Amino acid sequence: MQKVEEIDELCKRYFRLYDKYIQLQTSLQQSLKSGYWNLARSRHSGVRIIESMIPGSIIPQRVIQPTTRNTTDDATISSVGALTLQDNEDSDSLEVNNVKAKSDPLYWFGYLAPPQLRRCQKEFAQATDIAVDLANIKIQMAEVQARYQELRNSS
Amino acid sequence: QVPSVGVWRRNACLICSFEMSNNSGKGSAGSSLTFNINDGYLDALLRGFRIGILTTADYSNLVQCDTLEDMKLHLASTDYGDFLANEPSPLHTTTIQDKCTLRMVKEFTHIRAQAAEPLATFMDYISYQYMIDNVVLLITGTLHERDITELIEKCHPLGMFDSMATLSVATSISELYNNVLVDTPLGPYIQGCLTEVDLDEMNIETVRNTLYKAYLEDFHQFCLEMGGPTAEMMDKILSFEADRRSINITINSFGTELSKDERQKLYPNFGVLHPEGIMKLAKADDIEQVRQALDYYETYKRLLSDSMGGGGLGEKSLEDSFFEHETALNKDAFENQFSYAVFYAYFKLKEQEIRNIVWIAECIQQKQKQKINQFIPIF
Repeated sequence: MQKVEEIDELCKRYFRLYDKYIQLQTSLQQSLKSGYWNLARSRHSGVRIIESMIPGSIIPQRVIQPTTRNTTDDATISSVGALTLQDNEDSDSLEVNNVKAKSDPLYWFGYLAPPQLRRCQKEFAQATDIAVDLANIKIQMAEVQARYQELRNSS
Repeated sequence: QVPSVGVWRRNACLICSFEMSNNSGKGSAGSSLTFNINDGYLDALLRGFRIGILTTADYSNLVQCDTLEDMKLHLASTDYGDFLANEPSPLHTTTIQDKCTLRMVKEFTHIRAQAAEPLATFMDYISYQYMIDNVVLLITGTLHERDITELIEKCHPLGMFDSMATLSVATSISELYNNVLVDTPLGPYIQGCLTEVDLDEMNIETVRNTLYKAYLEDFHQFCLEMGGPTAEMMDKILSFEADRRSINITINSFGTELSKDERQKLYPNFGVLHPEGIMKLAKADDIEQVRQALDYYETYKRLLSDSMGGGGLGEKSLEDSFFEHETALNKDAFENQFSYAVFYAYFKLKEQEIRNIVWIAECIQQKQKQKINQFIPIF
């Protein structure tokens, strides 16, 4: 009986996670659409955004770190893999001929960036956060699925 | 009673002296008696090109396209012809932009090749703005460790000069001047910011705006010296350009490390906003203070409120309002005759046309057809 209840709980949890997954997918789609749109508007207002202005060697501003976390949702799952987005300590600047180029991509195409380009950067940064959340949800869904399969096979 | 020959002769002399006294400047640009001698053919050619500018009917065909291939078909029935015929599919918006720009460059070089003085110098002035953009592109690319040959390919064709490849060795502004710019027409324009400081993104922006400010002031002075309808129309157009640059520099500098003093040095010293509006803009810290600074200038107050009042969603940006006003000024240039302003206006209208075509292409490609009508129709 306890097993049946546990299976029911796992199913409920799985569907909650799936619902959140769909919502995050929609948000990601909106963020990316808005980001590309603002990029087009920046080009339209005169900013030259071309591949040749991007530095040859790029140091990322944020990196993904795999961590472990303890879940409180289900007592049987204690520590699982997860991803977090952290600021990159090495991303101070690029140095060319002792001159520091800005590491913030906003300034690669001209120091006086128009508001559309700033909005574009914000949207893409938000999309990155959402993508990491999506990956974490998928990890959790896979764990729930594995546990469910284990319980079904043992019954 | 028919006037005698003597009366006709006297009246003709009065008209001649009136025309001559109106044109106290160099050459005889603007004089209705002498304009057509050197510049009549090119003026007529240019007005022929002007008829080929896309109309509202052409745009209504383009906005109904579902793919870029459809756009290519519709553009083939305009003056553009089959300029995209040899491009591999799938088409990209950057390809369309590059090919449209090449057509404009062809028209420019055709007219420039046949221009006599002072039209030749006038057209050279038009090309200097592209030269400034190219210089900035090359220095920025060098700062970002890109290969110089790759960067030169991306330069605007109207702004090429001989010593472009040597731009990669310049690491400070004074080196840039001494090694490269001194032999180009942009040499005199850099006097305002010669320092030994290394070039980084902020200094490059300072170089760009200093060059542009000096160029605009020099061009404005040249047009005023020409006198006549050229001076009249170009004064309006270039004053708007100067004011627009001041407003854009102010708004885009919020949130950056550019100080107010440095910002003030970048404002051109002519235009409707000069000097009172400029002083207020120099002290502004946010968009609200910019709005207050422009409150006394009816045109700019209207442009700013159009862009910010549109639902607050930024559907019509300030840049769109500026483009709209610039297009209206450029169209007016064609209402006058015996003026060089039509040459400047035509190429600016062509640039706007290219922006419109690229806008429509982006909306189609990104499936944002609800925003497709935000381009600015010209004729």
